[in-house]
Amino acid sequence: PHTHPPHKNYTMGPDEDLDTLVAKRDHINVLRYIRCHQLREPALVLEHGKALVGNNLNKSLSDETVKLASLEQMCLAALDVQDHDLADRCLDEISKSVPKDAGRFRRLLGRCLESAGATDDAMKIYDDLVEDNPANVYALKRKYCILRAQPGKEPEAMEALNAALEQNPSDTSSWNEMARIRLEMGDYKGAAYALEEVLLGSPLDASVHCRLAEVYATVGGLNNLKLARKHMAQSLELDDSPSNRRALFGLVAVASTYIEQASKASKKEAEDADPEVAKEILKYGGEKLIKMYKGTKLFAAVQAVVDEKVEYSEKALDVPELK
Amino acid sequence: MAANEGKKSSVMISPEAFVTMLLHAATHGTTVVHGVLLGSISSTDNLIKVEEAVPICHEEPTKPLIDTALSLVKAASESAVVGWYTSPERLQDQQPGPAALRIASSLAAASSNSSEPTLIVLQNESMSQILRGFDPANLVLKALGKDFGQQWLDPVEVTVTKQGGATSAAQEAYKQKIPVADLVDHFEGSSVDWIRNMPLNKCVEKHC
Repeated sequence: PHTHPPHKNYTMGPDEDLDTLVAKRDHINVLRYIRCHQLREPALVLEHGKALVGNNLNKSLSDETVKLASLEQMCLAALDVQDHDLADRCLDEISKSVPKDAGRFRRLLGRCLESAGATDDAMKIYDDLVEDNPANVYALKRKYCILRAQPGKEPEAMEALNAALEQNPSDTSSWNEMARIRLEMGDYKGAAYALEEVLLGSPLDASVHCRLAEVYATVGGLNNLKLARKHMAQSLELDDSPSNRRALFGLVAVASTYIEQASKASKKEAEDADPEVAKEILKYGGEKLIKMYKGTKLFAAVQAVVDEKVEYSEKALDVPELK
Repeated sequence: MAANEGKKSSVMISPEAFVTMLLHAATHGTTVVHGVLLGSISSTDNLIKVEEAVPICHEEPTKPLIDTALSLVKAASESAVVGWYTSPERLQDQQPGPAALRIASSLAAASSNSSEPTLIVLQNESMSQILRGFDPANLVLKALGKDFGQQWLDPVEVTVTKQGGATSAAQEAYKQKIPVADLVDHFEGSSVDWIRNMPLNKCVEKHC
């Protein structure tokens, strides 16, 4: 059973879900589905790919482009499971129909070299591609990936990612990656900045609002916690189904932290604070959680957590600064 | 000043916790993993007993996520929080990242009896060898305590009880692909229990 989070943003690909296609042994569409939804399922790709083009990769298909796309997809899947032998055979089979100086072929070759550890050779290919075309974002991103995989190369990796962003400043996936690397470094302010850029590209994505809220709450401070509340609420407005329970827990957590900070705030900060609003948000979120978990294993724990936070907030707000 | 000041602390890890940590990391081979450690701390001999490991996430954690995780775990379990574990994203990284270090020190700050939690860092290369049935050249995990710079980078003695059985259990669980869920998987709708993984515990019982 495939328990991938639902991808709401794909615009093409087969209508049926993956399990149906696998059961029907619809190899071409299994591969298409995986490609369109950008899933990482190397074992499935190799199984259905081999069924499609044969173990020797030389079954001819009515559509040559379908065969080449499948071989390319299989080559990358082979790299993912460290089957370099199969990856090389895919390259060989592809090169029978494609000139070796074709951009797409060189890109695939670059990936094979990266995976085999020949990072200098891979870098050379990407550098050449960028020289041919400075706007080759794919090559710029691969350069970033090579550096990212090496410990101790964080500054160079950051520079490479910035180079890719310079060429394509609205590329959501690069900003996503920037957010990820900033989080890894512990630079939460930088991660928030990057996620705001991601949000510009996907303003209706509930999960981005939730992540951004979490990062603002991690940076801390009353203003950021207010932003965190806002984005958690926005996330829930966009998706209040059980699949977004992370935002519901998040709402309770950030409202609770807001109240904690507000109760310790200086007189000046407390002037702008609206802890009563936070308390209502906390209660609202808490009630929804309790309703959601009724009858499940975690019910008692969830109720205990909500009760504790509500109780704490009542006490914390009973403070002269906030009156 | 504690009466045992100056005595080095040590960590003892139960087979269940060992297997859980390894399987959690192995399930998410391409990202960092984090989880909380439960058990008991004996102040008389500075021994930290890690009884359970509860997987939390397979991404960089944020404060609300950790707050939620710790609240839920404390409400669902009677054991105390005694530490945190992590497995770095890259194969060759052997040290904890800034997030794990920050979590360790905030656990210490929050602890009611000023006991020092332990930070366990799984060693990916050794772990990869052991799960595939080989004898690793080096230790599969490192335990860290607070050093003079107030960072959790001081290596501390660590043992796994019934190490042989724990290792075979981990190897079998890995081979059988026993599903391991963390809190984030639970958020995404997984029905696998992230707090008490019965199939995994049964596998450990079999070997220990």
